[in-house]
Parts: sequence; C-alpha cells; structure tokens
Amino acid sequence: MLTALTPPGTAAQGRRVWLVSVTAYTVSGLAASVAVGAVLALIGRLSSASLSSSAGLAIAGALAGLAAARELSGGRLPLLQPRRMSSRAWARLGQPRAAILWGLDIGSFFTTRLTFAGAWWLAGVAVLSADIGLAASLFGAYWLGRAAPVWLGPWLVTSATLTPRLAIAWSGLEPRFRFVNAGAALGGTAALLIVFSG
Amino acid sequence: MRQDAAHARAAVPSAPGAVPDAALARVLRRTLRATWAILAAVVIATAGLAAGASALAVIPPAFLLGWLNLAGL
Repeated sequence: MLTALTPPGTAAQGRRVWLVSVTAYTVSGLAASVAVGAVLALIGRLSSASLSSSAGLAIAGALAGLAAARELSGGRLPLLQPRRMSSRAWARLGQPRAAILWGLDIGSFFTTRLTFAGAWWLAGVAVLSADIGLAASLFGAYWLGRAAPVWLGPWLVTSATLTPRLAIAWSGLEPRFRFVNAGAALGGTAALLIVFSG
Repeated sequence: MRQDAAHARAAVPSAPGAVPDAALARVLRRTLRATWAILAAVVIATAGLAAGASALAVIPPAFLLGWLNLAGL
C-alpha cells in the first residue's frame, strides 16, 4: 500500500490528492491502532495484569527474548500472524477512500501480516500495562512509525520509475532491520525494568 | 506490505536479480540514513524517559518497531 501512497504513486492525480490521501491513511490508521491498544489494556485490566509486578516484567522479558531470538535467527522461528495482506484492489475505489480503508485495515494490527516478532512484544506490553492511556499511546506511536515512510515519500522516492522496484529494494533491508527489531524489543524491556523495578 | 513486493515482482520479472541502479541505491541510502537517525533519537529518548522513571520510555521503541515494517513491504 505504501508504494501506492508515495508521491509517484499518486503523482498523476496531483499533490493535493497525495496530501489528502496520506493524511487520511495516517488518521484512520491512528484511530484503529489507538483503539486496539486500548482494548488490549482493557483485557490486561480485566485479567489483573501488571507491569509493576515481577511476573509482569518476567513475561515482558520473555516476549522480548523470544522476539529477539526469532529475528536474530533470521526468522527461522515461526511467527504467529495472519497471512492476510491489505487489499490492493481497494485502489479502484479512488483516493482518499482507498487510503482510509488501508489505514483502518493495517492499523487494526491483527488483521494483516506483522512482519517482525517485535509486534508481539508490543501487544504483550500493552496487555501487561493494563493502562489504557499508555497502551493507546504505545500503539499510536507504533502506527505513526509505520506511517512515517509515507510522509517521507517525497524525500525518499524522487522518481516514479522507481516505484515498481521500491518494495523489492526495501525488502533487501530486512536482515538489518531484523537486528534493529530485536534491539528495540530488548531495549524497550530494559527501559521497563528500570522504570518498574526501581 | 509484502504484497507490494509480490506485485512488483510479478510486474517486473527480472527485478529480483537486477542490480539496483543509482536512483534505487540513493533511495536505499536515504532509507538507511533515516533509520539510523530514528534509532539514535529513540535511544536518547528512551534513555532519558527511563532515567526519569517514566513509563512513557516504552513509547519511542514502539515508534521504531512501526518504522521497521518498511522492510516488510
């Protein structure tokens, strides 16, 4: 979906269409992500989860360890995730309708492929926090990170001829990004340990 | 996101083995530059918030995790 929303992908329709589309994508995805985070925290609250307990921190640490092991092994460990992708056919609906649907779908987190295992660590922390505000912020931040490449599109992708090969080129970054993903989960857990066990 | 790569491969059969041209290499360099800048900002923000005993310290890594999905296009 990202390549469809980069400037070359919408250039034929004008700069205004691009701006409206990426805004619609970001806002709809943010709404969906914040809602998912809030629901996860609610589940945690109902199950009496707590990050300030040693058990909660141990679970967060175990999730981070599993996520890191999976990514540092090059993705050899299976990742529990839906096989589904967001529908490219929605592009036929025109912009910004397609962008809104992509945002809602991808922002819903559990409805499409997750790519890296760190996503499960994030979901686990949201549940364990049992804090609706924190979990909603957590998922809001995750979504804004996910939508950021679309906003950087004009700087990253300067030529429409690149678009067909863009996804392939970016997939070449996967090995390095796996390493960073593991570091983010482990680093985030270290921060939780400092905050909640201090 | 991998769907985009699948569509791209279908549309450009020779692309997977193709050597990236200068423009594509520039996109990759810029993407990596942006990633390292985000990583540095995330490390600083996380460390600062954790030092202040704020639970918000977990927010910057969440942003980074979201950004990394770029590689799973």
